[in-house]
Amino acid sequence: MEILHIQDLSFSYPKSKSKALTHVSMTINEGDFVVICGESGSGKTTLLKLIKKELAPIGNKEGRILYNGTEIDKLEQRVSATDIGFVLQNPESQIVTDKVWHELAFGLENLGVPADIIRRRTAETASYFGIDDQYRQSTDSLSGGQKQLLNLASVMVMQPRILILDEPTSQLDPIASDEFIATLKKLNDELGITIILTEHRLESVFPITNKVAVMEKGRVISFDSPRKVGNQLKHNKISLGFPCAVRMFQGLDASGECPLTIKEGRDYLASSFSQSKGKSVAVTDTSFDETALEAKDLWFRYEKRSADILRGVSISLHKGEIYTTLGSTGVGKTTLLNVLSGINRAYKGGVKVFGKKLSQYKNNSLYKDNLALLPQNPAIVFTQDTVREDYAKLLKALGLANQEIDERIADISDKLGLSDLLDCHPSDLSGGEQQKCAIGKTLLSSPKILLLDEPTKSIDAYAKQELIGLLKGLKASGMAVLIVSHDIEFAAQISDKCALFFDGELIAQDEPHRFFSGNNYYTTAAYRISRGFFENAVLTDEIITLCKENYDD
Amino acid sequence: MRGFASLNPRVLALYFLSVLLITMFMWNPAIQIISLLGSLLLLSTLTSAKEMLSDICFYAVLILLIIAVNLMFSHNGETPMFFLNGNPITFEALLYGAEAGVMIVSVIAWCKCLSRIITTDKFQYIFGGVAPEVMLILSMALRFIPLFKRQYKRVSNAQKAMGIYSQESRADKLKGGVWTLSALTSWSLENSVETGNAMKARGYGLKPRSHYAIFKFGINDFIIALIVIAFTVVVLISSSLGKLDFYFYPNISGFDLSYLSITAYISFGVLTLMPYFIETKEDIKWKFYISRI
Amino acid sequence: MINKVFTYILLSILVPAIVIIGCLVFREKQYAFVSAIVAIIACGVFFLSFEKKEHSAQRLTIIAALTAIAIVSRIIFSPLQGFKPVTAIIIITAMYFGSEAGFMVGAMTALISNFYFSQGPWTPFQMLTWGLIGLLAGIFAESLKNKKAWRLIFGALAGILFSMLMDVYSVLWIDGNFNLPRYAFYLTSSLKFTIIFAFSNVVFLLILADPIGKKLERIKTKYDL
Repeated sequence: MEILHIQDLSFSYPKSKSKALTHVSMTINEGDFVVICGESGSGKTTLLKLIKKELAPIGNKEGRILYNGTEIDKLEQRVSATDIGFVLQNPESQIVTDKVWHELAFGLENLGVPADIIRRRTAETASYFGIDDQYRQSTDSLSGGQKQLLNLASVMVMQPRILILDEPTSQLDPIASDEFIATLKKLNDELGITIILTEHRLESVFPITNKVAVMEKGRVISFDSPRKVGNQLKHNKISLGFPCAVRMFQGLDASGECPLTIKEGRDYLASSFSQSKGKSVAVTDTSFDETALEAKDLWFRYEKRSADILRGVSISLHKGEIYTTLGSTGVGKTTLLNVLSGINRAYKGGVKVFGKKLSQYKNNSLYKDNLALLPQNPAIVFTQDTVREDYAKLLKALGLANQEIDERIADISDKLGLSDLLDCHPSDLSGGEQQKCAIGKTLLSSPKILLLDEPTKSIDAYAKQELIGLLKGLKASGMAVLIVSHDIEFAAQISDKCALFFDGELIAQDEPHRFFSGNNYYTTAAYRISRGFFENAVLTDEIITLCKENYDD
Repeated sequence: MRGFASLNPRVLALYFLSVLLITMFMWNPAIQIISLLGSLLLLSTLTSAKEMLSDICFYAVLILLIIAVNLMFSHNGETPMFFLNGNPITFEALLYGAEAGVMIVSVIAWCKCLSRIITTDKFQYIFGGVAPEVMLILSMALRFIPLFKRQYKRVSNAQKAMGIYSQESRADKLKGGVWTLSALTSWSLENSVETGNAMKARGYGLKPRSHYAIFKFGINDFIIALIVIAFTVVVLISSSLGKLDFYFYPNISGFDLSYLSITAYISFGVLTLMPYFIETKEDIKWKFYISRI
Repeated sequence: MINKVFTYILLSILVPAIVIIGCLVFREKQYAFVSAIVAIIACGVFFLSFEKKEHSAQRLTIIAALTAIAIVSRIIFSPLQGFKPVTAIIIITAMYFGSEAGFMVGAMTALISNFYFSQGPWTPFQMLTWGLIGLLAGIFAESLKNKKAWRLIFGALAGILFSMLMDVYSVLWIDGNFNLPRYAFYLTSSLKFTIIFAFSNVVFLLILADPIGKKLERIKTKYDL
């Protein structure tokens, strides 16, 4: 049964010349699980917000959106509030109240539901989502993943018929986000609720959806089952974010049924390249001569009586090297960066930057021309109202003359391609743009060592590719880069060396091919697919190349 | 939550209101001393022995200080103990100061108990019916505070790592603080706009709104509320009939010892000791319960 | 409508009744009692009139956010002992979001701060005084925005007003009536605090009004608040 019908929808924002959406038409049936993908700025969020009347942006709208045959604008407020649930991107900002029970009750209070019914509904929702233990806790005590589950639960408590989610897992770590996606599947399977989702990480979403809509510059260029979309969109930039199996299939220009999961990918390789055993990717170790940053046996804890977070970390980072530290959330990766950059001080062991101890860098000289740290949420590095002013203010604080300031800004913005963004307000930029400007800001002090905390969080596959290019450029110019991340695929693509941060130590420091092919669980999708067929193939492109070589044989 | 603190918050509010009202505005040494005793006993069930000890020291110093200040400013009274710079230092003024000191200390102690017992969620429940929007703002602000605190730490680390301020001089600290606050403000305003969106998406602004809380009003609450009201009324009647009047100047009046005033003292005594009894009864019950297992 | 009339009648009977009964019961300390009741009722009336009006979700969240910022700002500037930007933030809020928001942020800041330290009989007075500072700043918003000098004078006066009002209350409470020499003593003994307070208001208004103000203005126009 048809539940949502979008008919020739076009939309433009007040001050913008171009259209955010152009002739979008789509029919969604009850019980559908739809994922919308596309580059940021392709109009995904605009489309989602137009379906939810309360969040609809102001602008010029043509065409119609019908919910159960009624136009969205004419929908009764109460119906729109209950029937169409909306979960936003950021788990933190959506939480309204200070207690879990109150957060669950909030929507029902708004609807004027009597207290005894609220009690019952919050109770059953809390137990369904497994947050009954936290019912009386304060919302702030939850982890990021639990917060997003709470947001989902406090929408579901209102018993919506359509659930719209705008990149709900972009701020979560891989484990929490898989759990979140699994909950969505459960809702779809068990309650038959219609789900419309935008998502960056398609690896786990693709196989469980029944429809994929692909958007490009405000148009829907494909709207079909995931297998068919995989078949249709070969050689399109859009497929960069698709699951590994799909990209492999597309890269090989194969025909037939497009594989979606790891298992299907393996089946595909087994049936098409069964005689290809023994082929391997050559592993070359790059050697570096100059050590940029060196730490030996670092021990750190926050308070005298608290547990150790670093337990004997040793690391050496060289000029022109990209080193990635992987590990799950909350194990202390950010703390490691803070200790290495001198924000926190280890109680045992020392850090040397270019052979000099941290304590020998007086008066902030460590942060001038030597080392820079980019924090996890790039939005927080900006204090001024435009990117340009912000850069200028920092350079002034670093003691540069006006002439130099302008030159330095021009130089950086050329290098990173920021010139269009310089006069924007930092908060108006997209996640990827913010990231780029923040990296620009850290480069202002012309550092030789760059520390990046979770740089791929909340940016999409295309911005990620751009970031990879940028970092490789910096590496070529001799920058030493240390990244902490839980993005396995990103680490495999960019690193010269990877290590796993576990139990306060860096273990298995190795070249990425050896690192990922040595791991069984903590490894890339490409390696999982190719294991047993090829050796050391940890990237999708490597599988494709090896497969093509096998064609030639 | 257990014992006294697990009563319905509105009953707790009534209790503290009544005890504070009598302690603060009644001018009678017997009342103040009963009140001090009750507050300290209750406080002892809420804090550690170490904290209790330091509190008591603080209270003692405070009382001495108030006595000293009163002796400086008040030279009323008929019984001079000695003269300082030609001004009489009187026995009455000494007692008056002691009385004021005990009153202030017991109010502070009661308020400390109140802060421990009436937590923010109970506070929201108490006023949620009358001022739902104001309480919603309170709830949101309480939700924002830990979030902003964490964000502040991140912002200030980020600023530090860019070498902006070194925390060395006062001016540097001030400048660094302003930059951090500035970045924090931008971020939190954007964040709060999104919170507003989430509220709208969940139907905020529809009328009528209902009010939900996890607190219940049981038979126990009803009984305690009745006791509180009855005893308070006895004290107030007795006071308005002048039975609890007490004067320090020019000379110290005695206590009125009529039936009514004695009933009032007993009522107030029971009222102030009630929470302590509820707490200890619970303790004894628990011990008994465990020994039977 | 009937409900409204009923509320007003109830209020106009109830309030004087409380005051009169209080005076009868607490004869010795009637001034202290009346001053406490006045503070509570003044806050109460303001909150009730706030409840009566319709507010968008965004306005509520921004008031809550600014309250939280005012409270967190105490921690940010804790390395500078005694120097707190709380009053400056309340004043800047009022300059850009008006009297109502100014009062709310002021009163809520006082209320919530006391949850972290300890509630006490001073709570309603702090709420009222900080609320009033916000309210007044909202009334003079235009001149405060346009003239730096006004801002600084206002900041200094706000600091002095705060101390003077709090001391009036202390005297009433201990003495039962207004004892001028004691008041003078309190004023002089809190002089150092008053001066630091007034001075920090001036300094923070000087350096925060522009950067914070710009951000408030931007959010106001961007989201049409």
